[in-house]
Amino acid sequence: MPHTHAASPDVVRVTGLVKRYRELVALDHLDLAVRQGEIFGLLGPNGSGKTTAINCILQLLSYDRGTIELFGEPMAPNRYDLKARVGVVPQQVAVFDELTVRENVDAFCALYVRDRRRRRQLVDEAIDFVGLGDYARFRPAKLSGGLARRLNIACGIAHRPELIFFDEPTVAVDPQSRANILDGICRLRDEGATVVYTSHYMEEVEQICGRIMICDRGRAVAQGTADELKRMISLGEKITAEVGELPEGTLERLRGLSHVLSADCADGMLSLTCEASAHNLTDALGVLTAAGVRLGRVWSEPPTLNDVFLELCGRELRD
Amino acid sequence: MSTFRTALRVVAGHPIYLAVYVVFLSLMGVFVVGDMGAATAGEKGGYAAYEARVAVVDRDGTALSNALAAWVSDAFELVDVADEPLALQDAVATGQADCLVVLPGGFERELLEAARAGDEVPALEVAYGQDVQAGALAAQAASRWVSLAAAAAALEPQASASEVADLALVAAAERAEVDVRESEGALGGADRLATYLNFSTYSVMSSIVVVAGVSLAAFQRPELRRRTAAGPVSPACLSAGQVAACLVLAVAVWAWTCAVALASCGGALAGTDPALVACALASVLPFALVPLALAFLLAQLGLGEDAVNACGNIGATMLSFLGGAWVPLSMLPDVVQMAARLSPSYWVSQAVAAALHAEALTPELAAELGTNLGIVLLFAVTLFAVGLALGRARRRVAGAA
Amino acid sequence: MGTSFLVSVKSLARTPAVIVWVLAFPLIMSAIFLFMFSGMRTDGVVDPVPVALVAPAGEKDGAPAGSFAQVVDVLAEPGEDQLLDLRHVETAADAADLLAAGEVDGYFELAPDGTPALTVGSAYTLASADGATAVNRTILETVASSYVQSRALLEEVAQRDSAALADPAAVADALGTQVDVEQTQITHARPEEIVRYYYALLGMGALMATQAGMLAVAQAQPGVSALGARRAVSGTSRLRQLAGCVLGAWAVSTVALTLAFAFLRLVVGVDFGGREGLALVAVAVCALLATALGACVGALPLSAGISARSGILTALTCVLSLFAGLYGTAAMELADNLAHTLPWTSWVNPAKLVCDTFYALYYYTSLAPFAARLAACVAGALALLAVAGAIFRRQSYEHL
Repeated sequence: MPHTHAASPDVVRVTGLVKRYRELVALDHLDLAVRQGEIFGLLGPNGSGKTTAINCILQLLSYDRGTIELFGEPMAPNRYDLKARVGVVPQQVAVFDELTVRENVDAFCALYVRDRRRRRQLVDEAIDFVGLGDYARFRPAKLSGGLARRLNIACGIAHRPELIFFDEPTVAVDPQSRANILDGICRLRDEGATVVYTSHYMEEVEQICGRIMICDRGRAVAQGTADELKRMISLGEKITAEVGELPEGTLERLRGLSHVLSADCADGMLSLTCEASAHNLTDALGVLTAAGVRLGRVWSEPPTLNDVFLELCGRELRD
Repeated sequence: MSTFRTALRVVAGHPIYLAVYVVFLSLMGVFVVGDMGAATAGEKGGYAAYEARVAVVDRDGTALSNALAAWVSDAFELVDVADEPLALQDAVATGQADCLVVLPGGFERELLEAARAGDEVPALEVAYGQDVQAGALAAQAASRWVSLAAAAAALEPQASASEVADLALVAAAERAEVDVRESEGALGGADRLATYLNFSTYSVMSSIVVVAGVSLAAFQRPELRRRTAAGPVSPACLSAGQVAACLVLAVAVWAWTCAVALASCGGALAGTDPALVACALASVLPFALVPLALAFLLAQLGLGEDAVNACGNIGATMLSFLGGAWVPLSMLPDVVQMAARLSPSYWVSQAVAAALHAEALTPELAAELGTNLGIVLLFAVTLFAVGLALGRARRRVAGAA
Repeated sequence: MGTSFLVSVKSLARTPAVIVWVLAFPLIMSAIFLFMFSGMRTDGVVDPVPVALVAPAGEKDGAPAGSFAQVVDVLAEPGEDQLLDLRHVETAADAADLLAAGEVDGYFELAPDGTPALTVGSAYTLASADGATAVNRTILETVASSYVQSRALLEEVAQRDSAALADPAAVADALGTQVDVEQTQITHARPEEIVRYYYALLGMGALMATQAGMLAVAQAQPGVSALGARRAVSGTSRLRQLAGCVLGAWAVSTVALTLAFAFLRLVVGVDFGGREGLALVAVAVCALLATALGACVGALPLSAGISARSGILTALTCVLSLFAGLYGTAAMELADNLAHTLPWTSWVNPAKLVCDTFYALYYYTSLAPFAARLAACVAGALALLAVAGAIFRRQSYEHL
């Protein structure tokens, strides 16, 4: 994989990170670099080591080997100066049930910002940012799932961190709230923050992340922009056609075409997967017309991130 | 500083706990102590007869039976009870009456006849309540009164029943001279305070463990811990803020306890040196650190609100029991008395007793208080140290230094 | 309903809070009570009052008939009615030493004319704060007074009619009249204060068991937990679910209270007046009342979580137990006074009602009061369940 160094310096640089839980290798020589001002997507199945990696970067976990640098400086548990520049939005809603929305944001912001007047302004901005202005006096128990997630985010970003880790922030959130959250993350990037974003939702990652890393079994499987990743896999095109009945032997002929990886027909729908090539559609249509198939709609799609993910990580169930 | 405020806010977020544990339990102590001071207040003046509660069931309704009831109301506390089985059973069972004297129909006639004929006088029918000793006292006195009436009837064969009753009343009004020598360990007004403070080991312990524990445990919720640990504040600093907040809470609970103690025992403390009272009250303060340290330990173990609650209640019940808050230690088996020395509440009750039974604040007393309270502090320090070690070990297991 | 019953039973039995509060707490309290009361007498027999009589050696023998020394000797004769535990000492100083050492509660000295003078110690001491010494002192005083009272009677009679005293033998006979005391028991079992504390403890145990009912119902409440939300959307009707939860909680609390009862009966040895079978019925009925109260709190339309509801119940338990007299003599007196002046309070305070149910079984010869209290428990339970049902049915998912 080409290791391109762009103009902007790395905000996070992880090299050869190894973390073992007794026999289980959670992180296996993981390398990772996040550039200034980008949204970096961290993709991987459950248990692939995403959260472990973040925990190690934040020094919440000790690790067995490897180096971690933040903002070009080595990270250590007592590097509070570095921690002060980082924000975390954990997977679960982690707030005080006893405190109101405003008090919660203030409580976490106060860990970073001592000046009270400045903090008041930051807290107000964070609450506005996630759109919880109307709920500032509510206790978390009173908030719906989406609102609670937004509070969770506000608590992580109120102190204006330069680097923010979002750990699956859109789990169990309705489409409107999700759009709102994703929009917010982009705005944070536009305001200059660097974001590390983990998720299972491929469309989200494809939508907002500049560069993406797919990890599995504690290793980086692939890294690059969405397009780069798509080029990395053998699948280049998916062709689907409404064919009704398919004469005997047609499937075999289709499979015999060069560049065709697979051909299946079910319920009158033919689906072909092909390697990247300029003539896939013409070749397939040629075979079908020769067989006298009456075609309905026909369309061709490029591969999605989902295809990349499934091809790289396999299709078996995890966890 | 911010952690400190957050910790206090979390406490304020549990008004029910504050109301139940801090306010209600301390007021409950006032009931537990009851009228103890009142009972001892009159003692300085000399002998006062114990007023047993006596119910007279008069089924005779004659001059003599009326006179007996009149005498009872004079010598003891006469309890009014309806003459029906449930009411009578209630009276002795609920401690309304220590003694129930039953005067059957024909009581007067049979008594006078037997006494004048020189026959055996019919026995007096009584039923004792819960306090058998007090019942026996009343029965003895009542039988004595009837004996006097019988003697009067025998001596004055011609006298009417009401004249016999008058003679018995006049004679029974005479009482022997009683001289009181103050015993060692006699209870004074200050003992009311001692008892209250002894009880307060329970209320202070449970309220601080529960309230502080809930606040400390809030910071230990797994994801929240992750969030704070990622922040630029060291674990020591975070803990310091939380503990400081709980310290404020402990001192507030102690101050509240002192206020309730003084309000409820104030009157009984008239003769006691204020410096000694202050010493006794101050003795409870080091004790307040024990539940604080325990709460810290429980939170470091990662226990949730429910578990902290249970530990606080049951632990406080056991410890205050060992401190003699519910029953004087001297009445407990030797094994329990030995075990009591392993509980901080024992030492604080020793300190309180020493302060309140002293004449003045002498260097010896100060040394004794210092020793007792030193032991109490040692308990707190030990628990706290164990908590710190456990917390550190837990962070290490999790991986973060 | 069957499933919700089983689910309730299983989840309650596996909830640490239930194990601790409903099962362990009453047992621990019972054990503490056991220790607390182990030093107290429970035999219902009068303890002879230790007393010293100062009698110089020469006069020890042959106390004249009718003299104070003889009266005291009679009262100190061993037997069922023994009132005094008498010791003869030579000098007043010896007697004072015994008093100071706490070996006697007082001593009698005789004046040359035979008049006794009594010296006693303080009524309330650290070792005897419960007033036992105060009672004993007065018993001694009554004994001493009997002598002066006899003399006062003679003086009074002499004033009215000196001829009445002409025959010394008749006078001695008359003054020697001693009316015996015949002790009867009018209750089913012997009055025993300690038993009442244990019954009050059962009352508290029952209130602790409310936690089970609260948990079972709150966990089926959509507004309280996610679990409740899931259950609320199921095909089973709300009332059937409520019935299942309540029955499950009832089963669990009955088992817990039965264990507490068994512990009290078998380990602590608390007397239930030989009516253990009926006591078990009472246990089940009291558990029902507790469950209903818990269910009601669990169903309350508060924006409070399970912890807060648990707190409410703990507070209720503490307060109501106070008025059942659990917290010692003063509290017991307060409870008795309240029951006497405002009898209805005993019927609405579940802790007191439970306590009274067992108490009725123990004390009253008739079973009618017991039946009345059982009926009150059942009626209370049904009323609370009706309220719980009404609220429970209308609850919806009240989040934003």
